[in-house]
Amino acid sequence: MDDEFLQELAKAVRPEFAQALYARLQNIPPRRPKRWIGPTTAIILTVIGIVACATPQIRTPLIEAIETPLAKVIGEPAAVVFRTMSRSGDAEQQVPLQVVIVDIEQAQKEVPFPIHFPEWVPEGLEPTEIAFVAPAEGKIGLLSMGWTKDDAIPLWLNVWWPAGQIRMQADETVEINGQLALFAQEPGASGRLSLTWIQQDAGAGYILTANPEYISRDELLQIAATMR
Amino acid sequence: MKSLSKIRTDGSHATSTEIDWAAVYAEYLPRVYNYFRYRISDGMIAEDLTATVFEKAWRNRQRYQADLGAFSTWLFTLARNVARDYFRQQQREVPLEWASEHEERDSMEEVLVKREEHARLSALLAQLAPRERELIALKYGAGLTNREIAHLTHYSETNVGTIVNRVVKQLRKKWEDHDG
Repeated sequence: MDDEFLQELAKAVRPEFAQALYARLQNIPPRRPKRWIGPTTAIILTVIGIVACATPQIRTPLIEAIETPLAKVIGEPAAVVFRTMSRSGDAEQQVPLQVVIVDIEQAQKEVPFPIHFPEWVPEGLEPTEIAFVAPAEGKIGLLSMGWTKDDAIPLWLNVWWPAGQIRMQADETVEINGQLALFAQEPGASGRLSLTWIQQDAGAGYILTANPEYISRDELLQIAATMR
Repeated sequence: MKSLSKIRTDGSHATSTEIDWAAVYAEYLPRVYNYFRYRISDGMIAEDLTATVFEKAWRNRQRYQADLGAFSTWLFTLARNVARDYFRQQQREVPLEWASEHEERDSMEEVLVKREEHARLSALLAQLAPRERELIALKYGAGLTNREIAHLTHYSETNVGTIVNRVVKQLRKKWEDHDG
């Protein structure tokens, strides 16, 4: 192919530019490498933990759900191994579970009620895709997504259905779009914020979890208020 | 999922854990820079965008170890995203240089009067559809093979070859028409 003329535009990089850039790069520290799990997997791991621990009443059906092979799979399946508490005691067990990664439109098609996603989040947060566990018959379905900033995931939304009853320790009760919600801050170093409520008309449970380094209590409530 | 040990850069670099970043810089800086020159034709903007790509790459160089695919694919994926962001911004702002390029389309002779080879080529490239110009930039600016371009753009290798051949033929004809 006679394409010599196309080389005309190629130019050597100006040495001063190359040197200045290289010097600048030497001052850029590498970001901490991510853990082996991606954000979406991390979200699912967290939803299992949060839902199972924070809502003992639904713990048993939840564990039943994840111990039962879930036949219904949509999107691209991703094999994930969860470590969960067994019903019989403290021993942990690994449970293979099929999780699919979907977008909002796909998730909405598969969920039998309108999912309320935040219409507003603080600036700079980027949504992840949605991790979705389709419920086997009579079991619990799970849906989880996060919002990333840099390498962190400051905000998580977890939805499960049917919601059952929520009974958990809370620092205060607040009203979100006319519904009672429980606000709590984890004791200890993490100080993670959570806001939990049931969307009564759908029988779905919602948990918004936030990293207080990025999101304040008031912002968390503000985010929840846009979920209608 | 590919394991880390299978991740290889193209050329002489072996696994990501063995990457010699100084060598990577020396090899890829001109290729990324010329990719932008072929896409944008403005040397200063090409430098700015090249710097953006390398700053992103440097900041995430450890993440690459857990990333998949060839190093050049990763780097040029960054470059394409940077270009996409640039054009998105330009669509909102409609820069003067773009306006002048569009004028040049209608008055090619004025451009050719400059008798500068690279100005001629820039003008020809400006007439290409975005997809064609991107493929030419990846081929001649970045120096990627058809296979690498196919991997990056998700076109088939055959498709890449066909489009590049067709575009080169068109460009050559216009180039030679002027010379003639």
